[in-house]
Amino acid sequence: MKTIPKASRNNSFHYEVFTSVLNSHFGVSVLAIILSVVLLAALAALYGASPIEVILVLCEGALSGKRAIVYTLLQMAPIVLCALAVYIPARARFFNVGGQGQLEIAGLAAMIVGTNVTGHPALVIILAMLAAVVAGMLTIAIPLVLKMKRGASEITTTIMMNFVCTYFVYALITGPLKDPGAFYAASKGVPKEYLLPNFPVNSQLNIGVYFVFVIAIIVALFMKYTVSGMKLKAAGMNMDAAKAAGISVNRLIVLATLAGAACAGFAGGMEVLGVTERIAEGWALAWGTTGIAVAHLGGSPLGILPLAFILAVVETGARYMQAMTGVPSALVNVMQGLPVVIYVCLLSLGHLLKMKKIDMKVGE
Amino acid sequence: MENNRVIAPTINMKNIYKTFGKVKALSDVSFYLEPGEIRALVGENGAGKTTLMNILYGMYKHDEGEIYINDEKVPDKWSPYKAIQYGLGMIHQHFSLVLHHNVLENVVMPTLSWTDFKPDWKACEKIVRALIEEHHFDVKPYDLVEDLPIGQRQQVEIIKALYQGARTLILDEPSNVLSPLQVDALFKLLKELKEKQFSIVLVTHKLSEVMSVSDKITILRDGLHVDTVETDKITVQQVAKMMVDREHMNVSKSQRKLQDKDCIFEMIDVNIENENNMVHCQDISFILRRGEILGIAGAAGSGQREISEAILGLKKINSGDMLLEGKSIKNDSIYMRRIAGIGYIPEDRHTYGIVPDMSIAENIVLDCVGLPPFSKRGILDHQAIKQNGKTAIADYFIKAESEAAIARTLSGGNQQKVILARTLMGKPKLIVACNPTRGLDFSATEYLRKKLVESAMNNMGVIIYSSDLEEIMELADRILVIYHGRVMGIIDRENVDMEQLGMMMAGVSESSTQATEIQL
Repeated sequence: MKTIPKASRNNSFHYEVFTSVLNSHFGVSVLAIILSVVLLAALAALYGASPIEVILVLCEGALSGKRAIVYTLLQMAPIVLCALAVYIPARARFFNVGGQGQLEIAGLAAMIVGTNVTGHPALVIILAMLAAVVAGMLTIAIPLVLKMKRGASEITTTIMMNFVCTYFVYALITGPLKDPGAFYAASKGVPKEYLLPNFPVNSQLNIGVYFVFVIAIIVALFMKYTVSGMKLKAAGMNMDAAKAAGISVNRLIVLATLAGAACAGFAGGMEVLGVTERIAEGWALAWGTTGIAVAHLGGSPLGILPLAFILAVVETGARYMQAMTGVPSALVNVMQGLPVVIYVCLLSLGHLLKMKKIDMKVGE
Repeated sequence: MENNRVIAPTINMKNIYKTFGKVKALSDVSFYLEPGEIRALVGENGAGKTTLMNILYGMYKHDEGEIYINDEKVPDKWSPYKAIQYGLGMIHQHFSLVLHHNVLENVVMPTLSWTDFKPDWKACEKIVRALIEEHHFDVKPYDLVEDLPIGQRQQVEIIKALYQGARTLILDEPSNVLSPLQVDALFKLLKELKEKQFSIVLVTHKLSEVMSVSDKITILRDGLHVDTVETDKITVQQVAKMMVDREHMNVSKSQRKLQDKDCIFEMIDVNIENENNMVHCQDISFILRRGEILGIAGAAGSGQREISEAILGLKKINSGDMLLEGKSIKNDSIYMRRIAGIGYIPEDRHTYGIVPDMSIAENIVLDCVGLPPFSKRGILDHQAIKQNGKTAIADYFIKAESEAAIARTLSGGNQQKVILARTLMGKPKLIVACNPTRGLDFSATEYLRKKLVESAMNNMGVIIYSSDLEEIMELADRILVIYHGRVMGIIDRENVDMEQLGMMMAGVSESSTQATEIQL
């Protein structure tokens, strides 16, 4: 007789904790990541590896030693930027899923400036980065104009632009921009003096990575402390009410979208001038796609940082995992898509439980 | 369908009650329909006419009362599916047609079951052709519905009902979307159907049409059955009076002298075109004095929304001009108009009023956040916004935990108070209030009305429209009556004649005693 009420109280306590986790954005995101890592480990068991070992090896590959950490950070930086490229326009209800395409074109622009312009290194670097940012914005301009003037769905146009941009860049580096001395599709390299300087000097960590953190923080401050940030928030949450309150919503959409594309462009420039030094076949990983996932899971500029970090860890640790456990690194790609799916499931579960709770209250 | 002799069922609805939440939609309404009759069911918006027909057709379940069809009580689980089997057919205001399919497919589709992989189209087409032939419909079986004008789409809906064996047709506001010529064609068709012993229920608020086509008129008001009369034995004025008359219509005398006040807002020959062919507002002109409340009366969708959105700048005007304190505002942006002193209490507060996921404090400063003291050089002053929210909560009696509470969590009345606080704190010169008390409880309604009158006392101009005529009667100094986007006239509240008001709202012009439709 005594145990029954105790057990039910316990149950309801767990239930409360569970629902409160499901009601917080961050809680759901973290839960989704944890669940997908668990799933990855479980999948690894199919290859005969021990799940716990797989997770440990992943972390070891990404975090043990300076070199590993630098690689993880270099991986994380473009993911953060591509996530911001989704996040900022999404505030104004523009779903830019074309970060990848903007990044490709931006990289191309940076490479062209870096290989053709000569002058003071600082000037050339700034010019190249500017070219990258502008190229990103020009790339989004096409879907943006189509959306604002003709109402074309930006989801379709930006996705399609990804393919157009990627293959356009590929076509150029196999043809007119191909380095005559290269055996495979690759452009000429950007001269050493025009590359982004590293800090600390003898590491491979370029200064662009620091800028990424600064950009994320600036975006966070902008959203919280500026009039435009608040207007952007209002426009994204209820466009009609914002319009009726005299906020020029269309201008906000255009500016937010351009700002997002500029982030993707920065990522492209940073990769070329800081990491790859040239554009070659497969020079860019699918940061744009990963960025979409991170933007949705992160939910805020500062929330994007830890999530990008986790996914970067998984990405860099993958090769080490393959070497150590025999689990193919491709499995990691499976895992990168999972958090979003799980996230959506958990969100719906949260809503379902909430509705049930309301029903119960009404029933009482 | 086998023979040409159709006998419509007699329909007897006894003592029907229906409530939606706290709203009594119908109380103790009885309805009796004989075969071969055209019955008009008239009443203001919200009188319960569509609800009654939806109950008959099985869309809603009545709380109390009984329905008999051919003296047989309908089963407990009454649904449109069963209603069709009993020979009922309802044509809703919004058609349910698949645009990319042709007429034949649209007509036959509802009768197919999912196992019919290969329907016998030839046989179906024969029946549909016979129907079209018999009733002189103006469509062909292989016309695509998306290519048809609206009047012919309505015919497709009627064919669909007939194909399913309907002998009693219920048409909900059939003439709303039609041009006068199409209306004539429709009524001719209905009369022919009547000759063939079909019975027809016409749900409408347009009295002129009712007089020309119906045999009997049933008048509903506030969910009550007022009377059922034969059309020959009543005048349009009497019907209008029955539709709008109320016992407790408190027409209080205005204590304010308005004649000597100057004009604060003026609308001159404004034309507003609507994209989707709904209402075109034509030649709207009126003036509003300082301290005056102007009520816009008219059936829902007569153009009051378009007028208010035009004042706000949400809708572009095609010609004409609008003057605020003598200065034209027609080229100003929404923001400039807000700053110039136009406050807005929107009709749909969830869509155009609040941002549900923002806090109360943020919602209140939504339109003036770019101005001091709430921000300086583009940087928000969170402290000032918070303080302003606190003041608003205290001044406007908003029931909330704090100014940081998310607007979504508030009740409708308190959300409306947030909008009211935002509007009045901006010290407007003109307030446009659209259905401001819709969905509010009694105390919130009273509070809002009191505030609007207070604003007028403080020399602001107020334009209000409401689906509740009583509200306009209580608040307005003058009433602008519109019908189908046209101004029918402006009446002073002091010498308002309910009969005349009702007729004007129903599109019967002031001077003529005969029922004359304003041609569009």
